[in-house]
Amino acid sequence: MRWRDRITVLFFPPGVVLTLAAMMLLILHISIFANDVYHFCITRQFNLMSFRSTVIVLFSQVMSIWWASLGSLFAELIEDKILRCFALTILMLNAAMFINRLALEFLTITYREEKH
Amino acid sequence: MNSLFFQSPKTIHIPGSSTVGNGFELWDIGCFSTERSLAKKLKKNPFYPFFQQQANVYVLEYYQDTLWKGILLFLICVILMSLGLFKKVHNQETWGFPAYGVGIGLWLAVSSLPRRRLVLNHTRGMYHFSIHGHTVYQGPLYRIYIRLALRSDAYGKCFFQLVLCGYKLEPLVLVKLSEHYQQLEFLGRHIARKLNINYFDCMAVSYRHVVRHWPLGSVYSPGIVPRRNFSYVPRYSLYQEDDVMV
Repeated sequence: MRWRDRITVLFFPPGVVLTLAAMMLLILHISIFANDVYHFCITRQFNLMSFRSTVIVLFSQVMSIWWASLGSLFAELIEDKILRCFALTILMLNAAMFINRLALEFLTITYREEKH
Repeated sequence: MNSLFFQSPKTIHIPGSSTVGNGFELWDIGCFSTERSLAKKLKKNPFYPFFQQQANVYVLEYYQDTLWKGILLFLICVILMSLGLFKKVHNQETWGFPAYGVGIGLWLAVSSLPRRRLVLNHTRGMYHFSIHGHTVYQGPLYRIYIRLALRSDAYGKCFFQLVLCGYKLEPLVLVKLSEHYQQLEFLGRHIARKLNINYFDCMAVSYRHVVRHWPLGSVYSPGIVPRRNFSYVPRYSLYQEDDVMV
């Protein structure tokens, strides 16, 4: 029963879990973004960019921002200074990533498959 | 022989209980947890939602209702993914949505899988909340209470909610969205009297609070204002109400 105890302890403070999930999603989004920028600027192979999954990527970024904001709300309630700082950082990075994503989408709009 | 006398109390599940942040709150709008069903349950078990373990010890064991919601979401999304129904819409990959559903459903189910246990111990004057044997919080009894919560809709109509709550507890909704203030107040006061805990009205300042446990040294602490006796004439019936209720 040890692993279940660990899961219980891990899952109880809901804010921390939400912040961690937002951080994982943030890493995923950064890697997708880097891949897109690489193929857009350097290799110029536009079919390798993530044009086919724009909807799910945007949805997942919105989810990530939502979770990060919930996590920072819980962290504010807990009043732990380090946790609060961490949660706010994750939230701001997520928001910045969303803006970057939107900018990239608009910059590459003429290279999309639908435009050819 | 010992196991005969010291059986663990019966496991009960409260369908209306959920945490505040966990979404899907609209799923059970008062369909199952009305004041009528609460009254029926109180008739069967006078210490509802608790069970009397010993003379002054009440025990409540429950699972969160996000358990079945999470399992339902998980199953639906697994079926969607395995059938390949929702994979591609107009050149856009959409398999990510069911994948999200699988993850979230799994998380909801796993995080509400451990059993919660709340013990009111009046002989020691403490309550004890634990999840799967891990103590979350153990504290004095004045920190746990039954509260009538007020919610109003866009047309200004008031709905009342009966909540068992406390410091570091997950709020347990006993009655969800009822219009009958007096019945709910009666039930809330009855439960609070049976369990010997505090009862609070929906207004912050009200003469209808029933405070049975005060924090230690509350007379001297600056945050707690003593009752202003001069400002109202006590109704005699208010004091007898506790004796009339059975």
